[in-house]
Amino acid sequence: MSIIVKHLSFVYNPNTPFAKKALNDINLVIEDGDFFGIIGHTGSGKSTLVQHFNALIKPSRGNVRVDGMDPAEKGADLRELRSNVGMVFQYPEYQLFAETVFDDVAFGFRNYYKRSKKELKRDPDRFKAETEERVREAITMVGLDYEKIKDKSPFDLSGGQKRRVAIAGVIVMRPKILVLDEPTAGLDPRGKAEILRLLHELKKNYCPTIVMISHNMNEIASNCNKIAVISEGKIICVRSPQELFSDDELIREKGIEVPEAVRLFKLLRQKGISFDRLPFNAEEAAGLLFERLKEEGKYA
Amino acid sequence: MLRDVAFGQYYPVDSYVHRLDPRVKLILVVLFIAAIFLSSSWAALGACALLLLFGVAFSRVAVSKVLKSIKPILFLIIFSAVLNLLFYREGTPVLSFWIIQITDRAIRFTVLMAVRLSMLIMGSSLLTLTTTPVALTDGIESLLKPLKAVRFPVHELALIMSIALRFIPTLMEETDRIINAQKARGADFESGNIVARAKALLPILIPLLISAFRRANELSDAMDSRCYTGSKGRTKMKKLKVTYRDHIALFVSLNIMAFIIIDKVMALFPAI
Repeated sequence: MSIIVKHLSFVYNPNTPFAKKALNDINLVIEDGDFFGIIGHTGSGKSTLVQHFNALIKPSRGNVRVDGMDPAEKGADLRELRSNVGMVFQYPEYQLFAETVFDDVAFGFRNYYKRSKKELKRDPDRFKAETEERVREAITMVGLDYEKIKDKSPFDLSGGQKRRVAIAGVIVMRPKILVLDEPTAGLDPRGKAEILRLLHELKKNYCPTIVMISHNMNEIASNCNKIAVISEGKIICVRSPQELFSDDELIREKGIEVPEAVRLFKLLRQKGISFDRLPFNAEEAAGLLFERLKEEGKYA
Repeated sequence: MLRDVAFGQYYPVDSYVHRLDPRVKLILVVLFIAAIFLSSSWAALGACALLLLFGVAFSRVAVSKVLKSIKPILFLIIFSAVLNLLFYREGTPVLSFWIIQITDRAIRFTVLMAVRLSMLIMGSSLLTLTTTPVALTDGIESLLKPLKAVRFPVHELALIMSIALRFIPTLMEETDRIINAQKARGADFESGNIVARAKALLPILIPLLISAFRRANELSDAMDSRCYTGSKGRTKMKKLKVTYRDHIALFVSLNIMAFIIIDKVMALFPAI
């Protein structure tokens, strides 16, 4: 399932003194299987852009096609679209509301299922069984113990657990594309690492395409295969992490932060030790250095 | 989008009316409302309209904005107009059929009330259109100051008001986000009967309430950690100041109002 964005523009509060152009002629292709990163400063339009992907916002101009379908067209099945494109907002734990974890996670699935109401009335037991199966699947998928957690109040959980439950509440609809807005914001380093591991797991076994907004360059560089840089409502470029972080001029011009490992290797290059590719995290950096030392025979 | 419903609807331009002292504007609005209800002759109402016209002209607010402010109470105006028309029984009938009887005085009274109500709303919206919520609270605090003598917590009241006003946009944004998040999970707020719709609001209201409490806690912690102790010894960054502009506005308005009062008195005691 792919997302194709063509000449998309969006204006907040049009025709008022508060009018603000949030997106300006965006063109973008997200292909099946991408782990797509979106970076940009606060207020650059990242969140506005991704909310177009499941028609929470309708374009002022241009269009978005998800799997060839334009959600702005009349008669488009928005519920179908929204179950296909799962959206995890910033601080998703703030949207928890139900009495139990089970009910909160089931919310999305039950809503999705509502359209076959007649079927539901004919066979309520099957609906119940199916709900339970899907909720169990989603909760297990985010790495929580279903039996232990299902009857707890979501408000009694820890921050990291709450976020997992909130993510489970989205993936219970079995989305084919998962969009996450700053999924690791506000978590401690361990919680961050766990969420990222979870995303890889999800991508491998569950939803093949992931779109992630993040401020954290380490995360973006070591996880995504494509990165879009967005600034003042415009796409500056879409590149692979290697290409993006090798482009010193662009980095300087747009004030893009670089991952720590990249910074280290750029310092090494200034000292005359250059490598043909950049590492994006500590492990990769160590690997490259180790290889070099071995080549030079300095490490037996 | 909820964000379109701009609360307080402040219209951000720089104008003569915008620069007036909020206290003066508050007093003028109160006087204006009193004047509207004192006016019972067309001349007096015309004077009120003239005052309103001055206000709008010198505020540089789009006329359509001011007119639009009537929209929310349009129903009320029409509803009361219909009732007045049908049930005001004094005067000579000009139209009667079946059980309906409309008198000349009823028509006059109906038009009078409709004009009064519309002007009332436009006048008070002109205040909120030209005054930021912060300036408004400052003005109210300053005007209520005499009540301190009877131990009325004026500063605290103003603080509560400004916090409430400050957090309206924040909570609006939050509501927007929660609505979108639940919509993304297939929530449907538009279909079903009234019970189903009320129930559909729970996934919005509960997170919103929780977040309001969270923000209240955070704010009180932040205030404590900056040693906030209330009004004692507190100074203001933006001091309110009455200038020549306010004098002119007061002078013009008071003259017009004096005319209205004289008009009223003349009507009450025709012998004078």
